[in-house]
Amino acid sequence: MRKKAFFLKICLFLPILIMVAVVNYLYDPAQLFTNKDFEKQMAQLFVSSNGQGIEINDRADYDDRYFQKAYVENLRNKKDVLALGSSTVMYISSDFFPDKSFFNAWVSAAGLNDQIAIYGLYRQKGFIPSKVILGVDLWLFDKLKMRSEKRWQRLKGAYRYIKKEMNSSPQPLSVNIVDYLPPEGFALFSFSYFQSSVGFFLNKKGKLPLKSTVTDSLTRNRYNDNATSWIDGSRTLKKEQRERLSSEVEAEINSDANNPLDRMWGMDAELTKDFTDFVALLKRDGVEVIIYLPPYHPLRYRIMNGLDEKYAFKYRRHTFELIENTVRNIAQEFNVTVIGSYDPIKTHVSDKQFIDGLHLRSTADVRPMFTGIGS
Amino acid sequence: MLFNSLEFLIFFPFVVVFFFLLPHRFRWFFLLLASYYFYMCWRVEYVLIIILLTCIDYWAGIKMGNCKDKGLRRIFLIVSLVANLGLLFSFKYLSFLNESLRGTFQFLHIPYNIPYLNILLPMGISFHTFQAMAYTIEVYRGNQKPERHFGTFALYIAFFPQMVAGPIERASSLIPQFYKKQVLKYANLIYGLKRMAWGFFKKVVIADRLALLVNRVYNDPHQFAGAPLIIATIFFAFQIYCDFSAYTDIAIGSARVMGFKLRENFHSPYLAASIRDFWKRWHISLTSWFRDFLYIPLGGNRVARWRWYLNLLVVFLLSGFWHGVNWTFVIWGALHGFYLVFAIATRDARDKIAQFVGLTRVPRVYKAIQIAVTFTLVTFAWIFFRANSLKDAVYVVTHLFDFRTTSQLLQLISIKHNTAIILGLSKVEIAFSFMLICFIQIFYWLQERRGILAILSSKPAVLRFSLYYFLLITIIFLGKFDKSPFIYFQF
Repeated sequence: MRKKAFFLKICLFLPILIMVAVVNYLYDPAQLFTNKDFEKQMAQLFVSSNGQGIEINDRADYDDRYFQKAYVENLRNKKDVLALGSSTVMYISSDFFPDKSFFNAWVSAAGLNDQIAIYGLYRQKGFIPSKVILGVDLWLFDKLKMRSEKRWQRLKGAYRYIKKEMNSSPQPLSVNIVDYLPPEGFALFSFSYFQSSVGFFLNKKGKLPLKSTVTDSLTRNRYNDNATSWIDGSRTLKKEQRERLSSEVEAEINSDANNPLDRMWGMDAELTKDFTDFVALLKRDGVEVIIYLPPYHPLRYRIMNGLDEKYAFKYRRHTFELIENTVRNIAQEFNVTVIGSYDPIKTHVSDKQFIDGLHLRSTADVRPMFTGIGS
Repeated sequence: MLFNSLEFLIFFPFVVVFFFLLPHRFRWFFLLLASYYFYMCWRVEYVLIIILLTCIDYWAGIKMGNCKDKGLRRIFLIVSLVANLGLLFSFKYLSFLNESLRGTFQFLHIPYNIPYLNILLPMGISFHTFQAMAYTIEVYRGNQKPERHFGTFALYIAFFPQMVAGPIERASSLIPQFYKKQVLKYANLIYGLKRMAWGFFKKVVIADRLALLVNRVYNDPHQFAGAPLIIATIFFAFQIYCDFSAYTDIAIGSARVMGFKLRENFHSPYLAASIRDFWKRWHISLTSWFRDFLYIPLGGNRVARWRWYLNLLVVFLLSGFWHGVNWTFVIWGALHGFYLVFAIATRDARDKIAQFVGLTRVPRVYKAIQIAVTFTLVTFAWIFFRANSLKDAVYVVTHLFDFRTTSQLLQLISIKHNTAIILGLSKVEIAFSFMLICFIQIFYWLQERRGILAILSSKPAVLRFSLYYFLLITIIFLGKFDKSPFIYFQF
């Protein structure tokens, strides 16, 4: 009788678990449970290189990590040049590298783990590129930010493979069964994923995320009203963003300074070592590495670098220089070219060329930094 | 494996189900395998250290049991102590010694060529070595019969609920429970699950939330002065309490589900009315270990006064060392030793002052003042425990009441500015954190004064289940789930 009562009482808590699973499944911010037809079709389209792109809008919110995996799976020949990084490298296009095959394998908010994993996809297939453009964003070295970014786990296999190749000391053996199982099962009942799903639900104002089809989104133009992903992997912004006024951008940056902004707390030693080991591996593979440091909006640079007196007590002074100098030192150690700079003055980029604190308006704004790199 | 991980939530029910399904004679083996697996999820090869120490201590215990000669028994005890302390020293203190020597030599401009030692500290080494030494010392004293069954002894050392962060159990209390055939009891199941849920609540809702602000301030204290340092220190006092007591709750709860009773390790420490009282309420199993195996053998308080004070200082200095490999922990321990010595030396004078001022006529007020003073002293000492270096600790202490940054503080609390980017928590989260601290203190005060848990148990099922639901919903919606390890795992 007591056993029965106990099991009935346990069942009273099942609705909570069911609620967690349902919300995680429906809102699924990392797109772990959605079918991947869109990503697969997009990958097939891009590999076929038939001169078409995809217009990206709210309805075509795709799993970019899965897309990268599907792309490599469909690939028949290696690429001469590969770009790795976040949306700060998304403008780099095949025009920069005439007579060379090129693909821009950027993913949103890419961390070092993403870059390592995506390179791993190519390496596993034997498609090591001759040249890699490595977009080095500040947050690559911020442990707190990187801890909360989990989407790279979609490419866990490739990541593990590259980590083994990277490290001089062998990776410790893991007997934790969770490390060997696909993340989706656990994400369904994960409380942390539930919190992200609730955030996604509030963001979408309760509307369920919808998927478009590739066929509906095809375009032969690189510049459209919506953001456009081109067959070389690069992306152009939506018209509304491309035409943003500088005054709007400045107001947003000032407002952001009072709200959560990407404050950098210095360089985590483990992440810095991983970065160094990754560059070392690329060199060992015979890859020509070009490190690209994307410039910041002049105002945002001043604020986040602790140079603006109004916000000086919130931001650590000269964080940007610390990180940039460290990256340059690592580059020098491995004889790697560095282009760009976080400091917009050094890259001759004006405030008018930015659509927000971090992103330039178009490919044309990025091109000058790549002069001489295309050969 | 962390308690606050999905893998533990899968591991634990699996272990419980198979534990009760298996015949009693196989259960020790299954639990031992499960415990080793639990440890190996952290680092596979380090389980060899546990097995090595188990073999040495088992052998020493058997040898002492078979031997009547006191001199020979002492040798076996020394072997066990040297093995345990030697391993503890090698993994925990060697790097520290190396770096301290490097600093000294550099200060004296003498070359120092020993390279930096990158030794990974085995998780929970301080706990299971102390638990093992408690056994061999008690066998030596004749208070404990040596355990002849190797598997049962190995389980005593490696029992997963408590091997990594205590409570430090005595063999006389834990080993007999392994021999008793545990039957699945409804009362144990309910108590255990409730205790675990309460532990998870304290860990993911309170401790890990407070940690966001504490880490932001203490990892770079030179950016702050005044109020942020005070808030961070108070938050740390509750972070470490909720974190460590949560571990104990989950350990006790998970053991109880299987029918095993572990000792309590905390008893509302921030309601202590004196430092002495604090140490009877905080990390009770470690305090009693030091009392039984160090303080009393040194003579305790049955010696000359100066020696008594020295004994106290030695115990607390070593307690500081036990906690960590940094001079800050030693200072923390020394502070507590000093507090105790001062309290004993001035007890009569303080009683007279209290009487003179009239405090003894208002005992509740007097007690409240004592609790507040004790909390302040303990929290002040926590500065040294949490600071990453002596330099940071000194900075915090000297800038606690630096109100030159008042204008910046006013900016912080004004509507326009979001504190999250500065202090790691938004204004709402800071206010909520203070509410959680008040809630915890009130809860434990009610438990101590009125036995609130017993009162709740007698309430109708609807009310009780509403509370359990609320607890679970709070964990799911408000918990911080980035798998931060328990603080005491590093010891």
